[in-house]
Amino acid sequence: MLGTVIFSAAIGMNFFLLGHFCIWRLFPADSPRIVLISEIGAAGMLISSAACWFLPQGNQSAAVISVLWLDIFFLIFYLFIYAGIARSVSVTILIGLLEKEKGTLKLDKLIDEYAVSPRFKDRVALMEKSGLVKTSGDGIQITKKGFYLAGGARCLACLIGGGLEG
Amino acid sequence: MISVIGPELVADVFRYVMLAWLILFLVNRLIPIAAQRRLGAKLSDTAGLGLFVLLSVLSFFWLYCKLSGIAAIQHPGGKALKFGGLALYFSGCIVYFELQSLLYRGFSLRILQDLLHSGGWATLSALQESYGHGAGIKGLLIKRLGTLSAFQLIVFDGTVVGPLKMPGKICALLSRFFRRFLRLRAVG
Repeated sequence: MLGTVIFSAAIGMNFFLLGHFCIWRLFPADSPRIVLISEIGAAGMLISSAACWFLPQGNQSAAVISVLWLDIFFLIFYLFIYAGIARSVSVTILIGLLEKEKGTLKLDKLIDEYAVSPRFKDRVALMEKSGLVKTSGDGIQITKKGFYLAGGARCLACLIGGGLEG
Repeated sequence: MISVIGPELVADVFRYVMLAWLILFLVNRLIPIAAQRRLGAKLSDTAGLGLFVLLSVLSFFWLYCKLSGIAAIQHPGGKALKFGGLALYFSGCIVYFELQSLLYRGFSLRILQDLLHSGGWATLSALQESYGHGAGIKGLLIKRLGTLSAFQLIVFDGTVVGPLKMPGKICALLSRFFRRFLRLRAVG
């Protein structure tokens, strides 16, 4: 049954990866589209479960639950990697160094490059898209949703650690 | 086909997975607090990560032994359930790790905190300058460069950034490939 479980999970997750790659290649966007990627992942999980149910030895609830748990692991692992690739400042620094001719860069120059780049503005724009802040001209106003998220993050930071240092 | 795996076994496996998470999260939270009280200093990034990996592996072995001890798990369906349970355990570890690093260095979360400190409203330039308790963009970059250097990805002496070390080069090449492949335009 273990083989059936792994095979079913592979079917669903291949569907997920294929759908994700096709959409991202065909319709590039400025936002990381976490909701969309999660929806494609959920569709992949449904396909995995259905595949398991119709495969030999798969029509048992334990097999389907095992498939779902395996899918959850794969999706969370992939989202973890994807979030880093899509938004990480550290990854941007690494790629920036790779593209430098000498492979090195003065810290002051890096700070200047970052300060004049639109990355900070982009992030605020993304936050506005998510309804966390509202911009008007050069001013930025926190919304109710942003206020609750900031408060929730503070409570969670006390509970599990993490100093919200940025 | 007659199923020998009932909902009780699924519940048992899930209970043990939750217990393993609880042990991991509690010990991982308590050791840094105890270390800070004893030594008067916070654990470094590398020490924190090392501790988390060690505790995850120990909890994994504890979970593996507990699941192997359940009689019904020896049936063919039980083995699949054990495999799924172990995968679920690792999912929780990743979520916990991601959540902690998000709370520790989340860019958007920090902007929200800075906005709250300034009474809920600020200009873009003021936010950029006061980012992270006034550390600004310089503080944001120095913190990340320190971590990259501690994880042996780059050389950083405080004034010059780079060159990349071999693991850093591999990370940079892979990340650049995926950013281009997925056509990600606005990045961090």
